[in-house]
Amino acid sequence: MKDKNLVDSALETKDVTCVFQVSQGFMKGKKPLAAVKGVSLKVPKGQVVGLVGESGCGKSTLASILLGLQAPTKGDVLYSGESASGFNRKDVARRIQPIFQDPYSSLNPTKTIRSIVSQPLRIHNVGDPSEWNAKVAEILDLVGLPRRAAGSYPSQLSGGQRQRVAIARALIMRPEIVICDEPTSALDVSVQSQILNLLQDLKEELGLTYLLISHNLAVVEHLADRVAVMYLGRIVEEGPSEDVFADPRHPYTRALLESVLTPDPTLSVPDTHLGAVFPNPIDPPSGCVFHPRCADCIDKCKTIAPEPIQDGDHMAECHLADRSCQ
Amino acid sequence: MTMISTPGKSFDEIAQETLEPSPFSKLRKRIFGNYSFLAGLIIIMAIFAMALLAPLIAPHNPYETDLASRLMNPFWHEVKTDEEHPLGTDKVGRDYLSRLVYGAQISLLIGFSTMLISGTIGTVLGVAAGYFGGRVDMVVNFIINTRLAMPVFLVAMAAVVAFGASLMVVILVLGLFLWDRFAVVMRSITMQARDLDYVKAARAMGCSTPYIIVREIFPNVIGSLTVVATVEMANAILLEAALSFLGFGVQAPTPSWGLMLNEAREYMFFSPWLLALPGACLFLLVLAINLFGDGLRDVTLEKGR
Repeated sequence: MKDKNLVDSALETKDVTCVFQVSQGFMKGKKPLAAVKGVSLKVPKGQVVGLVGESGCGKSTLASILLGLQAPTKGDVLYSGESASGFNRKDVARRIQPIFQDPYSSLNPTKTIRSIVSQPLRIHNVGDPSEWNAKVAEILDLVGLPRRAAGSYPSQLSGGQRQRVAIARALIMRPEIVICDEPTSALDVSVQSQILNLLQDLKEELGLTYLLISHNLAVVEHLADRVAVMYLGRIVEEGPSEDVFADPRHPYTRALLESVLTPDPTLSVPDTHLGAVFPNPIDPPSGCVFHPRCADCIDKCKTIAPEPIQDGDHMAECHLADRSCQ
Repeated sequence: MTMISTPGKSFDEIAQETLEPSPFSKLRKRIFGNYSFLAGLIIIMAIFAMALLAPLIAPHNPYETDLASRLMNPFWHEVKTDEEHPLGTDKVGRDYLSRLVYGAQISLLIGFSTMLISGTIGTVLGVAAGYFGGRVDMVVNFIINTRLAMPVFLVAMAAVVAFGASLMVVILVLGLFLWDRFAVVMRSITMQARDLDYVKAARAMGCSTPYIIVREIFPNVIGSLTVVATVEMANAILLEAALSFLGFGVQAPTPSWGLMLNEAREYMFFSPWLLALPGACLFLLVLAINLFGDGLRDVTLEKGR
């Protein structure tokens, strides 16, 4: 197991917290909602970190913070070791770019592909119009679109082609880090693997670092070097992906892995023991926030919040993980 | 990514065929398949041309009175007609055709200027409320509700009494009062557009807020904006006619269709065409604008884009 501290991190969050004030209705005042609670995450240079968790766990808020769209209430984001606090939006944009889930809403329908893809160049005042065209042609080749597509509108392209356009737009400024927010879940199954392979090829070719947000554990297992599992604003387990998939330490990770549907028709829909209730993030459970849904819950879990337990390269935030490694 | 070459065809030609028809050819198809849009457009163009070329078209000066030939009948009557005045003359002998032609100027002027003023106010308020939300939205909503609580017609009459009746006052009063629909529509569609990923992408690439509003959101709401604009234009024209008819709008001797209706009131039973002609003009213009706006919605707001 290699020590993660030896690898430079392209992206690092230090104890990032983001609290929203949620209105409780007319004349009732506001209550704080911690969408992200003290997340410390390292994304090593040139690697892919998968971020997994169910809807509402704070993945998207974390992504917004990393993209500089949302200021964290507390904590710091570091890009290649530099703190983001002194950066303006364009400084952040040069380092990190997003690829969104739905290529139908991520491209402005009134603009041509050329104008969409060259937009970052125009915003950042790089080069002149003739250079823009050359760069657009180059990046379209890179993502496997015909150069002719530059003159068309998003409505003329298929879902897979649109996602390639979104990737081209994200990469034209050659950022170091790309946040892929469910990059394939809105696409046809047949196109998904093409896009995933493209992402992998581009990573090798351009030396990119990915933060891959996904529900799809198969995608994460396929692409990610490391996996972070998020639950109710916390990262509850983090480690090298083979390790996490082979030996999940947190009961939530185990439940997620059990919930994967298999193509075997003789097996029924897997039972995750999670129940249907996702806790109300305005009023989180006491102790370990996962305890109401945990199959292995012990008394301690209900009162004392677990500390992160580091085992080599593999972190889990669970009282039971402590015992299992002793 | 492999290029399969077919003899006789370049890759670009094949690509051209496999791509869907361009949005412009689709748009052309929709325009020429939409008869109400075409009909509205043609009538508006005709009235617009009439207003622009009024000095060339009108056979007489619309202000020139000729008491010797007052209340001449239009050409379809058998008695008391005059070839000089194909649509007859009014009670002081002014040529009715000339007055109708010049009346188009007033109606269109009122319609366009009101639409511009109210459209600007409503769009600024609505887009600001929709984009920024929160406090801004609350304030704008309050302004919209305040405006909706005021009866346009009564306020317009009061303003005319206070500031005196003139074309300028009518335009200003209508312009400052008819922006509510713009604001409401712009607010809701800006809200929808704001949450789309392309706006998020623009923010993530470092675009400034004014850039996002003007270059990313505005092109996507302009279709709805033009539809509201046509409705409001027709509305303004009708309100001007109503104000002029009541004597609170454009003042005599300006040839306004509403004012002509007012002046023809006393001759309603003996010379009904004095009422019918300006009424028909108003009806035609407002109908054409509404047809045009309706068609415009079908033409521009393509489903599933």
